[in-house]
Amino acid sequence: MEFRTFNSILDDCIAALQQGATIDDCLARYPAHADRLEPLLALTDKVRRTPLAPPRPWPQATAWQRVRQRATDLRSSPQPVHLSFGYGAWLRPVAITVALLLALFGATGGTVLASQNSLPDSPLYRVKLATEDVRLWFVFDDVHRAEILLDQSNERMDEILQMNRQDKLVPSNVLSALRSRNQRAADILASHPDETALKTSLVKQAEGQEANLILLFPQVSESARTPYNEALAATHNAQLPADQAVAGIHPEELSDGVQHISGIAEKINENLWSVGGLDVRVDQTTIGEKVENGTAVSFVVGKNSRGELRALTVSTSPAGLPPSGSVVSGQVEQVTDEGIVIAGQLIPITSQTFVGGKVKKGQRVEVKLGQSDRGVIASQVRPVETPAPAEDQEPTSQFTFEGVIDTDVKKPTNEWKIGGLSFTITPDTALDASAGQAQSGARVLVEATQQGDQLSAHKITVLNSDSPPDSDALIGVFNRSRDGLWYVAGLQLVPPERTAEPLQGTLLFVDLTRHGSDLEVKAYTRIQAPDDNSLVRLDVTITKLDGAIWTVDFGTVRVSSTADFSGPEETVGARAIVWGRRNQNGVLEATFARVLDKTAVVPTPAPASPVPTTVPAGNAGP
Amino acid sequence: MRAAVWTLPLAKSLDKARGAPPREKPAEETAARPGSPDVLAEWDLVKRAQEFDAAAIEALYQAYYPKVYNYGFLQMGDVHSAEDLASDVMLKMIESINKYRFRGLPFGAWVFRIARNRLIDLHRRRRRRGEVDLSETLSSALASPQALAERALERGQLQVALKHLTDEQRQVIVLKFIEGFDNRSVGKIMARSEGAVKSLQHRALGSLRRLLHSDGV
Repeated sequence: MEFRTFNSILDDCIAALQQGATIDDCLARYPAHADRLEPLLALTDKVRRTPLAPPRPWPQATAWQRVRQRATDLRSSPQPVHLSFGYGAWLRPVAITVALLLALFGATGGTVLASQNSLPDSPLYRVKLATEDVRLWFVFDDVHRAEILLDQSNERMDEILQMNRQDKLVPSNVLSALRSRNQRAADILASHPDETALKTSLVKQAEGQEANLILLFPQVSESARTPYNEALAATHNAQLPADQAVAGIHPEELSDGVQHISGIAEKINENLWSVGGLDVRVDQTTIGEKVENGTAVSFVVGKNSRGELRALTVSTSPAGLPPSGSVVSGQVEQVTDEGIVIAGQLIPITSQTFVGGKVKKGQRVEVKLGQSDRGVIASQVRPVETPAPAEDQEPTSQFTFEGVIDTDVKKPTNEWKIGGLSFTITPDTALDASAGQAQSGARVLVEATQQGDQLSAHKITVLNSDSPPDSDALIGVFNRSRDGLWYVAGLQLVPPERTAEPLQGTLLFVDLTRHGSDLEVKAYTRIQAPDDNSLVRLDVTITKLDGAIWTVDFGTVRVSSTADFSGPEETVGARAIVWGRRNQNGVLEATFARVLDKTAVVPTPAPASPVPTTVPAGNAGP
Repeated sequence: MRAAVWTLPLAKSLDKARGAPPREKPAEETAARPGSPDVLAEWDLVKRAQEFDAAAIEALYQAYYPKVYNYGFLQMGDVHSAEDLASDVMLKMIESINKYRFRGLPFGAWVFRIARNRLIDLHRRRRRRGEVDLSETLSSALASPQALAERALERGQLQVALKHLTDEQRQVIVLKFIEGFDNRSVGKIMARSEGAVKSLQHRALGSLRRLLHSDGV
């Protein structure tokens, strides 16, 4: 099912009303949407009929005198001659365009037409791009050219997102085309300062494209890294004022990746800030809010080949709002026009939501939450891959690991030793240092994937914890036991003596002690049985506590005494990982909860705006 | 079962309070559509205005001054600013009319593109000078008894509600439902795609409905 089809339905109805149809005609045409359509159509009708105030006669007459005088002056002065190439004139070169294309590509008219719906992985795609280029040859009005280039750039982004939804890697051709169109539009508008609306449109479009490109980093093929960096730099620089664009971000400054880093900003000098122990350059090319000493900030940074970080964007959490970035992972129960339902809860999907793949009922997804004027919405939705392991191979899986950093992370390195394990820092590993600096001795939570012998860290979160340094923790799926050892999420563990091993496929929370290079199981808890998809995982911040009821960014969760519990005592402002399911009363009931911080990490958490709509009883729930 | 057709609490009473007749025709029914005979007739008028034919210029002025004034008034909530905007735009219209090229869209889309650019400049200058946002002035003014009385006016209610929308949402409501432009023209004025206009239109109507329905303005 496609999202947001209601936009088109509403627009159809509004157009029909303009043609003389009645509201009832529209409702009869779309009975499934009647309840939502009716108030909006009634509102459009009311707005259209709102009486307007006539302008005051005297100022209107005064203005007319000015206009008339100016017209008289212009009539008496010679007028420049203008070439006439509007839409009507544009139609004439179509035949030339097609002829040229035929000559260039040996393509038939049918091929040209067929290419118009092609995607970047199609052989016809170059015909599509060439058609667009040829069209521009015959547009002589600069502003119109810029408009067309912006439309084409928008289309490139749509193609990229479409590729992504089809689980395809983004190739270089579309990224190069995106860059060139943005750059050409920006160049034209730099010489037309009067076109403020178009410049605003360019900036807005580039802002959205930059945000999407950053999220798309993992979906870009290795061979497309250079055009990706160029496209990202161009969309970023297009948002800068004309006088700064010349000294904008250079693609080389993104050569070693693009990362999210959040934490408390500490000023080193005018253009250099420390966040979570990492030095970040912030200057006039950084887009976003002003950085103040001691405030919580989130950076998207580019990393160059020398390991230096330069901020592309910066944001701060709005006061009084819970932090964004909480995550809900679980099975999709329903896909509706408004969003997706997980554990009976509708999570709205808006036009700002980044959907990173096909989302359908029954699929496991990871949803990152964000704030909007509608309350909590999905800012990102990503399907969770669970590929079947090949024979004779250790299974590959995602896991969560908690331990202490043993590496000097100030030195440029792509390997961090945490809790005795070596994690690879990928070009897009995120760092959340809200609770303290990422430095040797700091306790961190790592979201990682095990692939062969390599452990890749996706996100590292510094914790506010006083657990002993030799104490680690692991959340992962039990694979099997062999030669007296357990394998959980591909990691080799030493089990306690005389302990029955869990069923293969069981999701475990494991308390570990380190002895040299061995990880010994102190205790473990079964979180989720094999093939049980009814549980959801919440990675949240506690914003309110009322007995067993925890209010978190997502809503409320009941953590009763029957739930397995680990970590420090719960406190407002601390972060937690909770597993639970919706109970018969429609309440999300925790089966396992782990509090990560011993004290508040979020300074003044406020209750979240509730997710606006809940699914009617009987229509949802596992 | 459907709810009442018009559920906005204040507006219902305002019809009675004002006793003001609605405009003769809703905006869309009077607006020129792309490629329609009206658009073509207007194009003839514009061609004459490009030759500085006095009657043609006056006809365009009389047609567009009130529209641009209302656009400015609903955007800024201030009579004097709206008059300044309308006057500036009319002057710019006549100075640039020879640059206008007929591309199937109503001449009004071109005029409102000028108005939108001017409005953006105006907001930018005001922000730079640290002037108070007009919407705040308008909202706080409502606390006075006089303003509360004015609130009984339907137009005022719409205007206040519009102030609480985002700039783009407000643009879409005014351009589409007050000024009567179609999606393509609105997209041209705002430099957005038609798809973006549809999406904005939905969000804008939803926000406006919540504001009016909850009497939260």
